[in-house]
Amino acid sequence: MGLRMRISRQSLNLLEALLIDPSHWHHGYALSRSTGLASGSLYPILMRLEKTGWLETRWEEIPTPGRPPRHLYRLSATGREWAREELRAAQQTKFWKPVHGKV
Amino acid sequence: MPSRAEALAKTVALRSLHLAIRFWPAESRHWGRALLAELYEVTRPSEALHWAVGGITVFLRSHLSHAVLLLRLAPGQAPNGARHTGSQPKNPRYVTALVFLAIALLFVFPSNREATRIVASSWRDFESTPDDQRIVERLAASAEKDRDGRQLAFLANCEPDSDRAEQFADRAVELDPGLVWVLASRFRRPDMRIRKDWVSRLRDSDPDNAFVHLLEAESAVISQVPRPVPSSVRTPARLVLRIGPPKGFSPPPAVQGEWTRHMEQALGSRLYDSYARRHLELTREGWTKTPEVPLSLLVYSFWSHPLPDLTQMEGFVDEKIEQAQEEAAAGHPDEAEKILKQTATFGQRFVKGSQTDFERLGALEISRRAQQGLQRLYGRSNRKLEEQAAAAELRELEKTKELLIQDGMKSRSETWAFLHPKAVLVQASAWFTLILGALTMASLILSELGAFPRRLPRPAYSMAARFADFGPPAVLVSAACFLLSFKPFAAALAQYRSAAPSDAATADLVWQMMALGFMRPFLYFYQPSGEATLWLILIGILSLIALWIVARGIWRRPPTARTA
Repeated sequence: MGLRMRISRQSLNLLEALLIDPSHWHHGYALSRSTGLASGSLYPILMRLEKTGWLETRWEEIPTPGRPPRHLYRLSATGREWAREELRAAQQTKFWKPVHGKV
Repeated sequence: MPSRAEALAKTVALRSLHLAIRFWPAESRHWGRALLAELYEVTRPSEALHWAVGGITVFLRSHLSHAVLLLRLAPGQAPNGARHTGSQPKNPRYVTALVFLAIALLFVFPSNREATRIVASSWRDFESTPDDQRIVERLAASAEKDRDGRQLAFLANCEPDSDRAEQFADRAVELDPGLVWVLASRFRRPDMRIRKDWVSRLRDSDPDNAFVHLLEAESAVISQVPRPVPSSVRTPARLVLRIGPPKGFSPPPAVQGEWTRHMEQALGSRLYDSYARRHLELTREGWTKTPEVPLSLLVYSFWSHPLPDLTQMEGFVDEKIEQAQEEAAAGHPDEAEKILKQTATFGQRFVKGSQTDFERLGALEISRRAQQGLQRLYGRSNRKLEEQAAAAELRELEKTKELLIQDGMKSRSETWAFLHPKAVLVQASAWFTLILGALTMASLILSELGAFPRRLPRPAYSMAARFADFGPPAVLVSAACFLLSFKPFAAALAQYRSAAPSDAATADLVWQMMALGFMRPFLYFYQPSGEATLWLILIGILSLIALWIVARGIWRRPPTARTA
């Protein structure tokens, strides 16, 4: 397990979005739309999650012609476990409410 | 089909992110690329702009993180783990930055900044700089605004530029006519012309003062006698050389009559006041009010303190004695006695009115010569009683003069012995700090540039790399030593500012500063003496070793190529 990090409501929203289909690779723009986070807030959270080892990243292998390859994200196995715990704890303390229904 | 404005918004968003990526810190640049790749997916131009603005925020945050990361690493190390081969400095950059911050904080205090300014000024022989003159101009503008004549008079004495000094003096007297005496201060400045109107104003304001008539006599001669110091000499210490024309003075024939008339007026005047006390008070008051006036300019004020030309006075007294001898030889002993008594009385008045030791010595010498003339006259006239009285008076004068000389020499020698080691310590620690600081900066820059591994042989490289570690704390300690060693001199400055104005307080300050000036290391390399030489040789050797380490490494390639 990596470093502990301070969990904000915005981070919890992102974790929830990543947990909807945990094995699926997500695009940054799609995550921004589903969480309502602006790029200036979304990417620093993604960077911190990657640093702690809870987020896996990779580059798109076959990019759309004429466009640069896109970066893809999903939670690692430990990341998923940890994210569920955090979301549950946040719900119990009423610090955060799920956006997409029960986690 | 997007409108022109929409296309422009998208282009601006894309270009700004492309530009940001070029300057993105290497370790997080891929995040910038990720942001850019997503921007291509954003269709609405306003949303694209919003996305790009967010991207710029991430870019700025990345730079902040990069800076924090850099601070945590030692000089020469990069956040991506890249480092140069060989020994590297070990202290993180933030430790070095904190030490430099502490050094900077030391110099935040005005007293410490003043210490630095004074020592730096002593290296220039207290010569003024264009910056100093700008300070005077600013203060003069402020004094003019407040219509403060005294402050302008003080600045006139401090101003190195003779034309500006003249303007300040004129304006000061215009604002406060009671300050007319400050015009007399200008007579000690070899770079300044002597204005006839100033002389007239001085005479009109103080007609019974012998000093004013002495200045008048001097002004009559000065146009005929070339000044010994060229006007280009701006070093205040050298101004003191202009005490007067050479020894054995006699006025040029063209002005003989005028000169004699003024000297006779001086001889017959009721009092003698050289305005020295007022000058000292004005200087002290001015500097207390505006301590930002640099010492290099204050020294001008010290040296522009008005004094009579003693060689001219001695020349005149000799003439009077000769005149008395001629009268006696012509069978007019009463006339001869009258001349000599008048001269002796003037000498006594001069002694009484003297405000500095320099004047007092001159006054005693004039009295002595007159008494000697009287004693000879009485001897030749066989007036035993008067001769004995004159001889007793002469002995008393000689004794007083001798005591004054001895006291002065003793006091100077004691002051010098007291100040000598302190001045050595100040100069040595200042130079040591400077050299150490320069070497530390050089080693830090070289370690950051990675110049060590390619050029320095391994032992020298290791030493230079270690210098980047121990250099900053050494500079801090050395700077603290320098500031502590300056404390006695700071105390002299405080004493001068707080004490009642006196010749002694000024002399003390001048001595302190002269001690600093004479202790300039380079001066001592060719005027070696005692512990100063020992200190400086030690510092010189250490500095040379340190310089050799760096120089050898930079300019000499290692004998064999090193493997990475």
